[in-house]
Amino acid sequence: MPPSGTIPVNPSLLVWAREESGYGLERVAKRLQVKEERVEAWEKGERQPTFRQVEELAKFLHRPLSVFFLSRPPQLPPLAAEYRRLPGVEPGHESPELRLALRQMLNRRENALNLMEELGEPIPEFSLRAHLNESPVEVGRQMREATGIDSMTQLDWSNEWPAWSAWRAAVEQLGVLVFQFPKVTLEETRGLALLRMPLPVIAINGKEMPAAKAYTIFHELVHLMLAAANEEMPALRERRSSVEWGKVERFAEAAASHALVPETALRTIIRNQGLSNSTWDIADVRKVARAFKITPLAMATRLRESGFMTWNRYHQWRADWDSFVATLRPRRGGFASPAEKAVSRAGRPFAQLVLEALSANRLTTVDAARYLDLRFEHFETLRNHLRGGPGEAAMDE
Amino acid sequence: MEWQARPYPMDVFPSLVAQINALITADRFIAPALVHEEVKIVGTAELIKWADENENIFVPTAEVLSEALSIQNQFTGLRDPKAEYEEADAYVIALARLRGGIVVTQETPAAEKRNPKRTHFIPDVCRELGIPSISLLGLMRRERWTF
Repeated sequence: MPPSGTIPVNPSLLVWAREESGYGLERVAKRLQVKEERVEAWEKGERQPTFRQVEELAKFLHRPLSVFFLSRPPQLPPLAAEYRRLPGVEPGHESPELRLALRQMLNRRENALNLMEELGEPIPEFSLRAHLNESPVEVGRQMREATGIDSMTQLDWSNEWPAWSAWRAAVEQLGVLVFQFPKVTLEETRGLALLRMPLPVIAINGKEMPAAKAYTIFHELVHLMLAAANEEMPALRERRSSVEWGKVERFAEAAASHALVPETALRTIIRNQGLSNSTWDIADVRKVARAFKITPLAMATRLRESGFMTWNRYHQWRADWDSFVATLRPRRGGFASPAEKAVSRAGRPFAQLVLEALSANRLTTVDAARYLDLRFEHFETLRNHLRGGPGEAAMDE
Repeated sequence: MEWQARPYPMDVFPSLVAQINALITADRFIAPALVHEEVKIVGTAELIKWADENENIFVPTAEVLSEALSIQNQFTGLRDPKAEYEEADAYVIALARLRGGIVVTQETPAAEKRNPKRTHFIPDVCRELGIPSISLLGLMRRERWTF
């Protein structure tokens, strides 16, 4: 008989759940307020946790309780087999926050597919392709054309918020789910792509500024196009050297840059703003960046792409820019309602799909609330928000 | 949660709540603690308050766990190792089985779904295990409630 209050869990499942969630022993021990040695003893089968501790562990690791009582660990595909190669992220060594975000987004995609099938809705096809032997300028042009957003519309947007909403909606119409994830540092990743077809996913770090998100979404779109053309593989199977991978990243950067800022529009704005002879100090770059609703850094990269800046000038500009940014006060987020946050996180198409399935009685209230991570009492606000047209809430406020 | 969130919200159907409360008083209405957890996470403020006030109806998970695991082992679709949380389905069925109860669920069987992602939903499992299961409307008829 186990000691009073303890419960016989499968030790190998304790190890599996912790490692799959990306945690070391110390984080688990700290959360459960026990010594590290105690967790180690559970995992070796030398001691058993109490039932309450197993419940706590399940909550902390975001795992179903029953998983700890399986006879052997579930065979799940590695997360790195799902996402594109990310600079600085070693497959299998993602942070716990990123691992959780990946799981959540993969589940959301699967739920979207199931709901579409249940409702008899056609699954949109992602048909854009890019090859590394193509000109990134041409790939950028194709992407831009696919969005259906012309330069005049872009220049007319009042600021970067409507810009980000419009870019997101345009990319979603290409058969891509666009999610945002919280709690992952920008240092780990600004965005990623889940290379699953159909219904691939672009995920943007919610900590990012809207002007930067616009660039990231196009950057990730290029990766999806390359993956769809078998030019790149998921992180786990991507075998290029870092130098070779750097070339892929530069291709994606250049294509994204040209999609966001078409050459003709760039030259027109520079001429109209009297910047044809600019030496491109921070103020001038900011002026042009504001017109296109992108970050000054992305604009500097774009100016370099078109030869307005030399590489030397660009490096110097970046150093000046980094010093300037260091003097700025940390950005503070605005207020967003729970419904707005849900749409911001999961995207308008997914939120609409959940509501449609709910109305058609193809989904229970509990599942609908779980899918959107939104209490049911906010669903009316959600409906009103969706009726209001594309909008965007801050993620990490 | 389903009934109070959509077809019969508590503010519009207070007499339904009164009937449910009468079942509770008669010790005829129980649920696994996981349902309480679910309500706390996704329920309306009103339902959370009601659930908290009726905490005695929720049977601790430890009491139902073994039976729920056995049901999950038999109907593996009730367990999703990729999920972030434990689904209450197997626990609801286990509780009915342990206490000789009737499952009240708004979930529809697999046959009523266009493209079911698993073969067994709550009504399907109940049918195979010989556990009676009814919808809330079925409960109303069974109890001869009229409004």
